[in-house]
Amino acid sequence: MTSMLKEPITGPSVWVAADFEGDDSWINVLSDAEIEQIDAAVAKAKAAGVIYPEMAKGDIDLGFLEPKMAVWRDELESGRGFFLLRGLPIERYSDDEINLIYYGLGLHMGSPVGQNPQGDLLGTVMAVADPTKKETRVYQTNLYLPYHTDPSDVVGLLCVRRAKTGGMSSLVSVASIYNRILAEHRELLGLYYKQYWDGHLGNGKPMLTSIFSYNGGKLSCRYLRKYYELGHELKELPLSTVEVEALDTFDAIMHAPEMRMDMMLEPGDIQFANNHAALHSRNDFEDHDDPAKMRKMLRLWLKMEGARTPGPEFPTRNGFELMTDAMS
Amino acid sequence: MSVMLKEPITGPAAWVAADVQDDDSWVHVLSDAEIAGIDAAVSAAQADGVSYPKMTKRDVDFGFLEPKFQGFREELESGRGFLLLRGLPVERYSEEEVKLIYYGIGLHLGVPVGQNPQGDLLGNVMAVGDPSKKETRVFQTNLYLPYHTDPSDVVGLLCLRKAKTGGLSSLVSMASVYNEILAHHPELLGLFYKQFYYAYLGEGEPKLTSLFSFNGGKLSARYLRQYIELGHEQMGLPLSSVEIEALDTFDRIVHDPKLRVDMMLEPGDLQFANNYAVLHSRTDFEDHEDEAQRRKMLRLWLKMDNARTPGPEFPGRNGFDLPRSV
Repeated sequence: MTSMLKEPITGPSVWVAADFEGDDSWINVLSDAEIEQIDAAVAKAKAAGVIYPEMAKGDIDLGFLEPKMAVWRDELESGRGFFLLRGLPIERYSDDEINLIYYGLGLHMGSPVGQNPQGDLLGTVMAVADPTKKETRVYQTNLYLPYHTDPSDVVGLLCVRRAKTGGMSSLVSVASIYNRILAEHRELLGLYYKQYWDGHLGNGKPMLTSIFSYNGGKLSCRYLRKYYELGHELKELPLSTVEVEALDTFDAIMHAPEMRMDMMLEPGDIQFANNHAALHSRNDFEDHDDPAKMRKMLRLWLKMEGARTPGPEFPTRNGFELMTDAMS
Repeated sequence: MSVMLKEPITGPAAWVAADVQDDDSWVHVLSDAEIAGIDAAVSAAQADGVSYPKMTKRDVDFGFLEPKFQGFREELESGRGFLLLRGLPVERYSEEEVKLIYYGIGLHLGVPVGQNPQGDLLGNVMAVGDPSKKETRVFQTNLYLPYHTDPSDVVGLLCLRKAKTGGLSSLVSMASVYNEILAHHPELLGLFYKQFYYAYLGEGEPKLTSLFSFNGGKLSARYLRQYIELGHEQMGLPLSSVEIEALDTFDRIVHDPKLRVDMMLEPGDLQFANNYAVLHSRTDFEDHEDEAQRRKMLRLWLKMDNARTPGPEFPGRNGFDLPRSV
């Protein structure tokens, strides 16, 4: 009994760039009425002394969005695997209010999880670190971030400020990559189902994971090439030529212009993506000199109730805090 | 540019059972004149005090067999990858004479290499080991030997005595196994080109090797599942389920009666196989009570001048390094 999916994936999770020409159904614009209700919920929460991150779902009354959120959750898990929420008048809010709204949305959509060992639940994505230092993570620079998945069911990215130039966000459908490998490079397929050492997945020491996992009728993908290379280096197990060939093929397909969906996030835009179903990247950018104008994104990692369950060779991971739970 | 061969292999290497069963052109019978020539060479060598293993190619005059050997080398490297040499009257020879002849043939066909850390150049394949002991190698028992390759360019197996029952020898063409995988399980193909930890018994730490290597227009294969499993166990890296699936698929294909050719080696039969092109196995057997009648095979491992060169991820191995004393 094989654990591999040997048929092409069909349905909305399979998309390519051309599918979105003249189609903006992936953009959900908040109505004036919804923004008013958000403002009211924020005012009420502040009056009650609620402040991020010491707050629960019940502390901010965004329940009126639940019918929409049910659709969004379904879109993330069983639809295209991503969507954009547009229209939040971000320029009107203070940093505290932004945190309150964004984290509140996260609490209502799913369960926010920690993004680093310190347990930060909202991550600031800014070019604040020195790219030449080894401990700097790429998201803290203005460099190109290659396509990858984050270690959570869903990732949210709220644009607070744009860069001077560049910083284009891009998504690619895992199902579309899969179908192309199946059609054009079938002899490589098994190599994505074997386990690799992932240098980032374990807490400090590399952990084994496959790149694809097919379980319960759904495909999951985990990809951040640099971490596989790091893991194998740390374990002193060189990647075989054919494994490098498999990773090169994966990279070539995901970079194909006809596959990827580029979008410039505008202030107030929130991009949500299912990490099992879509890879994300962003271009390098030139930032403003004024620190107060520098590009700023806020990241949210969510554990989702209805998320797919990958097989045992693809250990589930939702953020940093839950690491010990996931391991036990 | 892929490291993989993505086209089916054609030509004589891609044989299946039916091709071999109705055709005995792979059986080469020694003529009376050739046997007389061998006898004369043995007498001359013995008169000179030549004895195995302290002898070179020149010490036994098998030069008259060179045209035949030329064909054998070609058949092993570019033909079916195996052949049988029949008709050596082993019952007429003493054990010393058998070794002189067999090793002499090896010296003329290629370069014999050591089969264990002690540097033995002719290996006794007999049920002399205790199957329950961990250090016993399966060839020293009467158990089923699964399909595998030996770590040399060519392996020879001379039958001196048959078992009471069983001990059927079997070969399968690597090219045909390859073609089956390519046609029916292409999604597994890449896994055979990645390196596995391979525990060569009797040697230190497991080494990395791929199971297939395509280089210089030729495919090479290496397979002994037990060594792969042991290597991964020793290195603490469990095989992924898709890797196990690949090995299971490989095993299922090599056992396919449509592919494999079974042959009972009779006393005097000498089977040669190219380890990169053919897998060999033998069924379990029941031996004779009388020790002097027990099944006995003599094994020869040869390094060949015309052997294919696998790629760098399939490190070439021709037997064990000889100890300095040999």
